[in-house]
Amino acid sequence: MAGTPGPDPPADGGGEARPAWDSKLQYLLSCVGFAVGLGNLWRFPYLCQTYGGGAFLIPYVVALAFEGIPLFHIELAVGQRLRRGSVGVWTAISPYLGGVGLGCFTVSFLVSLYYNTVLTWVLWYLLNSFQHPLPWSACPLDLNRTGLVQECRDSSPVSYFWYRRTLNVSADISDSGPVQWRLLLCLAVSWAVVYLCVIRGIETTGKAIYFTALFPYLVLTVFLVRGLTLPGAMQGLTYLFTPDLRVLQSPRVWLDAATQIFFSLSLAFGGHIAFASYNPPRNNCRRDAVSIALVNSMTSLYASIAVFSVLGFKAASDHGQCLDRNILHLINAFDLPEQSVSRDTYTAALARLNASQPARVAGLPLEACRLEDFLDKSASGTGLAFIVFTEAVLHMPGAPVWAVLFFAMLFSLGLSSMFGNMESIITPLLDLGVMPRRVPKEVLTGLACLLCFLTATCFTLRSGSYWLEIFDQYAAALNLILLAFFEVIGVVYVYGMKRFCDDIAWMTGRRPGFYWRATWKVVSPLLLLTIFVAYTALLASSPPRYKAWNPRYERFPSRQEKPYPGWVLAACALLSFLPTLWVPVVALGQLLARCREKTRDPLQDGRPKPRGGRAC
Amino acid sequence: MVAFSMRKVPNRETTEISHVLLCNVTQRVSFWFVVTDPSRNHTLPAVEVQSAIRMNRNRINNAFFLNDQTLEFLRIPSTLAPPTDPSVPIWIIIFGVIFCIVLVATMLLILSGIQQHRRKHKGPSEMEDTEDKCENVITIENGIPCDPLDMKGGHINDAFVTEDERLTPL
Repeated sequence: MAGTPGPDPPADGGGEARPAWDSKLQYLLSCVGFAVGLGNLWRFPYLCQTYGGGAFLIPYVVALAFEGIPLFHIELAVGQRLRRGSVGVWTAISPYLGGVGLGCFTVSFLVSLYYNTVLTWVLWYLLNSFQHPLPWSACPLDLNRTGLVQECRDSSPVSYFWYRRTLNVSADISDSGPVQWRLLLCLAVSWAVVYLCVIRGIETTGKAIYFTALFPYLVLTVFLVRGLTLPGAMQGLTYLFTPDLRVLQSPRVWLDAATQIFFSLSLAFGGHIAFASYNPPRNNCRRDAVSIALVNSMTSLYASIAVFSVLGFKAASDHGQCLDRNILHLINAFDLPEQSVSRDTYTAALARLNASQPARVAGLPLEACRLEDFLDKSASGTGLAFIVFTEAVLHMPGAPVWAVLFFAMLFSLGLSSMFGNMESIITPLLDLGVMPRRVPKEVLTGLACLLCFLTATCFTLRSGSYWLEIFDQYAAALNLILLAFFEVIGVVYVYGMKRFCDDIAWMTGRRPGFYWRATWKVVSPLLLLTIFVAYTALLASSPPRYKAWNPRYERFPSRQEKPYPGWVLAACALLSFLPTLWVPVVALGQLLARCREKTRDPLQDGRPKPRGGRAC
Repeated sequence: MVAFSMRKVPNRETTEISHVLLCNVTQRVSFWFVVTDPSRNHTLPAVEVQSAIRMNRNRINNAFFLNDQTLEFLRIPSTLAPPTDPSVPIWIIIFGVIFCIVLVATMLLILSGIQQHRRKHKGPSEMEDTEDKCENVITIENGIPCDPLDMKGGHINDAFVTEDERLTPL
């Protein structure tokens, strides 16, 4: 430990002070905005629903306590103490660990590419919500105007609008097709908005965050109130939150809870390190870490209540329509007077008719209408936002207003996360001094945004959404877990637990207690290692497949499962490991450089070097 | 209504109600009908009747306050009304608005940044700046960081904190 050089305080060249937050509130809102993202809205409710409702909260809280909060505290403390972006921090702790910072930087770059593409889709829907009737409410007509378009008639207007009018998706990932100019325009605007907000770093994001971090809460509350007053909401809530404790026995639940906490808090991106580095050096980062993590989890719960109430309403209205179709069949077949059978009396009427004329009843094309079946139709990710929720919004009175509110909320949720992503890209670039001092920061951010925009145009191809799924699954997951593992090991074992605790005591006024030290030293690294192994095993167990939207498939509108072609699998493997490769590459590079220095100057071996009054 | 529709067809202006024959009338208002020519000798071909009905479908529907879903003519597919397409799609309008706003705001920010840059380079040393910097920069002496007296945290007196450990142990 004595040989490791201590962390150099940042010498911001050029005499310019490091930018600072205008107020503590700005910093907290920025971290909350970065942590609270689209996943809180469309991943957490899905997990709750799939894994036994309220029972999922148990592994979630356990993961939060033993993995989320400790790792988060490390990131904030390290950033605040060393006052540099992710690359600078890890290089300062040990030159061999510089690869961790570069890995974080690469992952942030890859994630910001596809994250902003999702925002592009949200923006497209937002632009299309300002009309009545909404464009996804009805199928368009075919060419001779005698019927509806075949693809739309077979699936549903909402799916048709998503797959055909928005994505214009191809049937196979190798069929790239041309760039979709509509999506390209929206992508340009999306990146222009991001550039506008990060143009001067935290000076501008700090102002923008007041809106983008708080507006979603406002809209969520409005949706909560509206959702709870809709018919069927209560059934949705009770069904989806009723705990089913048996699911806790499967290890998959615990794995998903751990990964959800990990990605939900946006750990190992380097964004939180960058945000914390702009703090004053004496700031209670422990309290910040705990409070931000709790706010993030509370937001997930709040969002899932709003989402479930709307989903319950949708299930109830679908169930009602199913009953109506059956009632129409009955009335037509048995010549009953109109409206003699209502939804409530349907079962009794059916039983009566079945008793008297079972043969005729059996010949009717009646569907089985059970509310639970409709409630069980769960969706996550883009499926929830762009298909299920848009359909639910159609049934609400005043649909365009709700659509505009919903997509505006999604856009600002994603935008505030993009600020953190861009910060984790730009702060290391600034700290590394990539551009000469004379060049203003606006140019650097502009170049970064331009480069990201040009690279992200590959997602506007017809096969773009398949590539986005690949990026989502492979580029982020494994790399972040490994990088977080290296982060914990780097801080606890390379930097030194004692020195780290001293630093925290100096910054916050109190040494970290047993809980912190135990989780940092033992529990979190073990957990991360277990998650990594389990996740890799899960990904490797099933050959990677994707679901393609193919109108010519026999079982259309079900999506066709296809395996990835070989070159795509190679790209997946590359994405999974390339960012983490920085770690061994940089470590080896440093080792070679040191060896070369020693062989070049053998006299220096073994003698203590007085360097400016500091003993080694 | 059927007779009226037939009258709209050229060469058939003299069709009367008595030329329309009904059969198979049921309780739930469905029936088969044929139209005969004025001499009542033979029925008119179905194609002609269908095209006549299709032309006046809207009028027939409105007379009964029904629509294509509630009044069905078997084997006459309905011509669906084309959706009202505005000349400029609505999304392009909103897109143009948002794009212009973003462009103008970005220009303003860039211009103000250039102005600030120029002002900073004109005025060489401004005291406010250095005072702000003092708060955040850790001064370095002999390669050892030592923190200036903290203005905000009054309860920890830096002078008496164990700073000794940060100095060179001998």
